[in-house]
This record gives sequence, structure tokens and C-alpha cells, in this order.
Amino acid sequence: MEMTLLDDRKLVERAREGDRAAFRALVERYRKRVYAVALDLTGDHHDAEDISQDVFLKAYGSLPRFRGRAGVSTWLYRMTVNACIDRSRKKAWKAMKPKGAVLDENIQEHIESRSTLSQPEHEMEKAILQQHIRRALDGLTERERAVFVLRHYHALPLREIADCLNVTDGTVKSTLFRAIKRLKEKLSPYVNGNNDFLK
Amino acid sequence: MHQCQDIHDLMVEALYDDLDGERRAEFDAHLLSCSDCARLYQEMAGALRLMSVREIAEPDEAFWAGYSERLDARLDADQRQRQRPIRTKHSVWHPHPALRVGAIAALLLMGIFLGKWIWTGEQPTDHGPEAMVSTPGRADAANGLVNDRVQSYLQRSQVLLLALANFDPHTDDAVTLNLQSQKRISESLVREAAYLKTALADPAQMRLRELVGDLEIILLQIANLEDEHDLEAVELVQKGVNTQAVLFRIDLSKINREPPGASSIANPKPTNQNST
Repeated sequence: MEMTLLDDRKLVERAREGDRAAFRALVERYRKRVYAVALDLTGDHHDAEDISQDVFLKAYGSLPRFRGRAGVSTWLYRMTVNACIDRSRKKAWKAMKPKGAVLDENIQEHIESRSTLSQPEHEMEKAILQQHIRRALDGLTERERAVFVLRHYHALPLREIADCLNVTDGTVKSTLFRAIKRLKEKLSPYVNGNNDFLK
Repeated sequence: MHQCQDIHDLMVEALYDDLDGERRAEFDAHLLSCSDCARLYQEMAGALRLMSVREIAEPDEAFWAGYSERLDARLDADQRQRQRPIRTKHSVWHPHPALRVGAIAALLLMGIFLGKWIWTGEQPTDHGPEAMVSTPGRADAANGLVNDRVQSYLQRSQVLLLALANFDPHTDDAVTLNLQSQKRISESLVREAAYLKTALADPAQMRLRELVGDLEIILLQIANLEDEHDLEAVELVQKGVNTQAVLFRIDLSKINREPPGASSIANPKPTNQNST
């Protein structure tokens, strides 16, 4: 209870001195956010769990070197993004997730799980849209995806994203512009056409 | 009147409603007068609305309870591994790469000096590298000067590359790397490399010339980093350092510092017959 009241800096100091309870409190505070970023970037729950745990393990080992110049959240986000990029490169997961069969199964699963709904066609459209959204996200470069996910799904200010990725604000802005433009192109049938099913 | 490019620079902030009143007014005024920018803004905003309808399953509380247990178990295992002196990932058989390079260099150094001592009777402590270079009849003064300059060049490059090689972009702050200063030093080293490659004309200096050439490429990469925070490029440089084994080769060159025409590490032979 006491730990949850301490601010990040205090928890880091204590954890650095070997206090596992303090580190656990930090994990409790950030695990959902770290996991969510990893999930947004990889699109896979197993990878997200592995990566988020790797991040906390690495954070624990790096506590003596954490200078506190950036906030704990920025530090953890930075490690998460880097870990996702590393994993993506190692696994070449885009190649391992063919755009056909696996995703179609997911759609089928999605539709079946909603079979009690009265508007199956409407649901199918929504499921297909979900697939297209994921594909559009996967179609971005790793850095574009990281910038977009941090800004759009995690509402991080541009300044903090710049700190996370060790780039300038201007780079974040131009990367985000490119990312959104590319998403617009990939989703153009929806953007330009009928999207009543979103209602 | 704003140019469209200026408006594109504001587009991201406008889409996320991050523009202050004055800039927002300028932005909106431009959209009223430019149909292309207005369409782009509408389409990008539409794409963002679509991306917001994404559904993603959140793990339940049971998952989080198990998550903490699994993390604790991994932390315990990690700590046990750290406490175990050897037989870990970085064991005798799989040491840290920097240790490998250091160990190999140290072993070679020891082997060469012991070899010379045993086979030629030469006392290594009596003849430092400088003395060997300046021995009359074994190297002319010009080559001696070039060698000195090359060694100084290698020494400075090694210091610079070690800072980069030991930098972990995943955990270390980019500011600690001081890339701007690294870039400046690299630029000056690259300029010097051009001279040294020409000066190392003797066939016996071929390995040294190659090393200077490989270093030049890596240093050029550092000098050309566009963004001081471009960590992907830093990682590329680190890979280059590892792939070319330049740190190891610099260590070798220090060990092997002999005048042109004399033996090399790869082809050892007694070089100081007079002393036997």
C-alpha cells in the first residue's frame, strides 16, 4: 500500500538498492501500458507478454544506469519500442504472418464469436475492417508504426515520443505525417467510400 | 499566404488538435483557400477515425495475476544466473564479445613475446616497440614516422569506436554518447586516412593499409550521421565494427608494430637476429 503512494523516482531509488517490492510496484504501475504498446506494435498477445517481461527484466538490470533524465514511462516505452523492433527484425514476423489464411481464420473466429448478433453482415464488415486496420498498421515501417501507435493509441505528446525514440520533435512530426498519409492510402476504399458500418 | 508545404508541417498537430489559436487560424484559413490541402486534411482525418475503431482484446485480471508471478520467477532466475560466476550465457565458452576480443589480443600478445623469448633468446622487456621501429637498418626514418602516425591514428579511432561499441541504444541515453563530438573527430580521422593510405605504400604494410581503409568506411558512417539521435545508424556502425573486427585488428597492429619489410603476426619469423 505504501509503495503505491511513492512516486516513480522514489521507487526507482529503492529498487536500485535492491528493494524488490519497490520494483514490483513499478511493474504494477506500468505493466498494462508497456504490454499495450507491445501489443499494438506486434499485434500478438504472446509476443506482447514476452516483450513486456523482457523490458521489465532489462529495466531491473539497468536500474543502476537509469539517470532519471527522462521519466520512467519514457524509459520503459523506449525499451519496449526497441524490443519490438528487435523482435520484428529477428522473427521477420511479417513474413511469418501471411496475409491470407491466418488472418481469414481470425475473421471467421471473430464472426463466430458474434454470431448471436442480429446483423451478421454488418459484423462481417466490421471484422474485415479490423483486419484491414491491422494490415494497414503492419504496412508501416517499424519507426512509423511506433510513432503512430504512441501518438494515436497512447496519446503521448510529440515531445515524449521524441524522447522515447531518441529523435527530434521534427523527425517525429514528419514520421507521423508519413505514417498517417500511408494509412490513408491503404485504407482509401474506406476513407473515400461508404463507411456507414462504422456507425 | 502559406505555402502548402508549411501547412503540411502543421497537419499532424492540426489533426490531433495540438495547434494553438493563432496557428490554428492560419491553418484553417489556408484550407479555405486551398482545396488540395483541405482534401488531404479530410482524408487523413478520416484515416485516423478509422484507425480509432480498432478493437483489441484486453487481457483479464487472471492474466495479470499470472503475469506478475511469471515475471517474479524470471527475475529470480535472472538473479540466480547473475550470482553464478561462470556457466551462464556469457560463460567461458560464450563470453561477452568485448571480453573475447580482449582475451584473444592478450593471448596473442603473450604468445608472441613468449615465442620470441624462447626461440630467439630475445628479452622482450629490453626492446620496446619504439626501440624496434627505430633500430637502424630495419626501417627508414620516413616509414618510422608514418608508422608512428598510423599508431596514433589507430589509437584515436579505437577510443572513439570503443565508446560506440559499448553504447547500448536500448538502455543508454543518446546524450551520453555525445555523437556531435564523435562526428567531428571522425571527420578529422577520415581526412587523415586519405593521407595514411597513400603513405602506407610498402607491400609489407598492406594489412595496415587495409585496416586504415576499413576504419575509414566506419568513420565515414559516423561522420555522415544525419541526426545525432539516429540510433539505427549507430547500430549499423556497431555492426560494422563487429563484422570487420576492427578493434581486434587494431590490437593486433599494436602487437605487430614492426618496420616495413619485417615479419607480421600472420607470418612470424625471428626478426632480431642480432640480439641472439
